[in-house]
Amino acid sequence: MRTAAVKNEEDDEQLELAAIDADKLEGLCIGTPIYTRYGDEAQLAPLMSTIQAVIASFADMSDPIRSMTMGGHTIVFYTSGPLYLMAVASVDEPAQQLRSELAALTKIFEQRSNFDLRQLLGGTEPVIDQLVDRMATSFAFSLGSLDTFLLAARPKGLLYAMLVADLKLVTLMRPRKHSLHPSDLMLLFNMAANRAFLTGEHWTPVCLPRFNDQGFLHVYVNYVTPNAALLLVSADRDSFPAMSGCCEAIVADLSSDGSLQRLEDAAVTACIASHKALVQNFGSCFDDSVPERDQMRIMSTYKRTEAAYDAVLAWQSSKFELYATVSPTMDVRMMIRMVNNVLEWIRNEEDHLFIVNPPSY
Amino acid sequence: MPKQHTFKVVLLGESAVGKSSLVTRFVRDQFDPYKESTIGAAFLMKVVPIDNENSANLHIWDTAGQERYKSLAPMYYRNAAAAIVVYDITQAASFERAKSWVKELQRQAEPGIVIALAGNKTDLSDRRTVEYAQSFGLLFFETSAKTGDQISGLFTELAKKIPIAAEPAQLQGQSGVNLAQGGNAAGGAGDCAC
Ligand SMILES: Nc1nc2c(ncn2[C@@H]2O[C@H](COP(=O)(O)OP(=O)(O)OP(=O)(O)O)[C@@H](O)[C@H]2O)c(=O)[nH]1
Ligand SMILES: [Mg+2]
Repeated sequence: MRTAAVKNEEDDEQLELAAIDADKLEGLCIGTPIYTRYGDEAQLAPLMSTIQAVIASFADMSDPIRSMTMGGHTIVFYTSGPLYLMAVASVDEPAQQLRSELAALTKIFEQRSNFDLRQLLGGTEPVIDQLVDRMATSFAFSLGSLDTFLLAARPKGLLYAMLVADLKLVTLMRPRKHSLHPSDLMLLFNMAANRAFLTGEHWTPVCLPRFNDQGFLHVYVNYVTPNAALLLVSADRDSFPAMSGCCEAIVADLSSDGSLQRLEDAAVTACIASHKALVQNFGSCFDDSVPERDQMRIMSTYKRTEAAYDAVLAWQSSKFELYATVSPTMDVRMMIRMVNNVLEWIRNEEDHLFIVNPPSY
Repeated sequence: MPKQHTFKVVLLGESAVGKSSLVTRFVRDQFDPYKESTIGAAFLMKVVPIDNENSANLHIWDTAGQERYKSLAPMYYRNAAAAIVVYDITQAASFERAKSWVKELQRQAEPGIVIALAGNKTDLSDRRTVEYAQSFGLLFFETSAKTGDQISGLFTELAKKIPIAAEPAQLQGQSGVNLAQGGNAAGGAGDCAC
């Protein structure tokens, strides 16, 4: 449901908010709106002035406004320095979760607060849109960990090498001393998901704030199969030729034993498990048969499960978290038995499901 | 077998003028009406004949035209033997942008860099706002990535104009990609993508 957010200027605010026919709308502004997930930020201008008025009227108090409920919408505010972020959700997503998504977005916008953010953001809208879309349906964001897959490869002479298939980390090579923070990896995955990279070789600088928020690294991106990208990260901006050669070697290696083909054929599993010690989760993708709307609903249920119990089974132990959705008519004992089977299988297959010892050099 | 020379070529120009489309038409003979805007830069190669004895292996850097990538351009045009500055004949502003790219190249790129100016989207000539001819003594072509009009002419003529001596010594006689070596950087990248 992508609809332009607000059109009618003379409407009162109640009507304007009601006119938002989007599942969730996220926007932020410095005087003028600089990014919105739905519609065009220019169309949001009249709404933004209302929002600023609302925020301002609470600003004098020691307790700034956090969220409000209006009709079928939850409106969540998050202010960070000069940035106001707002999320409007029609699905009943917990306000807490929306706030943490907004907080994650602020980190990105905050980096260069002294510039005209709109200009800097020019062209990044697709990337930010993807990031926001992904927050709605990916577990990696809400669990603060990574998706994994299985495979192995051998790189040489670079900072990090990773193979990413359908936003899952297939394999990661890293130096002994540097691990990559999940949020940095998420930025890389998200960037690599852009269609602009689908053909050929690419070389672009990228800032990974958890690695170093003052400088940037250079990333080689090449889709080695229609849905698997090889990402080679280097600190040297002149190392493109070396990365290109390295990619060629890795592709030759992976093709010779059929790994690339297996990657293409990989099937999706139904359960979600998060290994706390390894900060990784497994099997987070929804089957295509689950409509997007339902994906959002299930995700939002999973997120709420952290506080309350719903139709979903959540298993939180010191070692991992497991979430499972089953048909609502399923008998509870049956469900527990099933989940136990899944857990046992995961334990047996741990070495294969998670990247337990990422190869380092 | 003609002798093969490796030259680095960079494409510059405002976003959406059709740089990626030009290169895709030239290298793969394809056109995508819904091309995604480039992030950073894409790298492509193609060999074109120069004469009976020589051919040029063009190492093409298709850069991102969006304003936020502007400060990265020197990283990509550094040591380039040739540049193609592209504008859209239906967008006067893109022609102004092209002129400032030409000036920047003349000031900051390798001395002797061969510059071509390309007015793209001739298939939309009924919406033309930039008149033909003001080529400032540069190699000049009007092209259409959509129909393929003048595309190979542009790259071939450009390759012929590059002096063979412009091939960096360390690239001679090797086929590998070995770009952007040595030379003094005309300013590093200033912005990060986050
Ligand atoms: N009609 C017509 N459309 C074209 C032509 N060349 C490119 N386009 C279209 O113009 C749009 C932008 O083309 P791109 O090749 O992505 O432009 P770009 O210069 O690479 O843009 P950035 O990567 O953002 O710098 C796309 O929708 C293309 O399909 C052309 O010759 N004729
Ligand atoms: Mg492009």
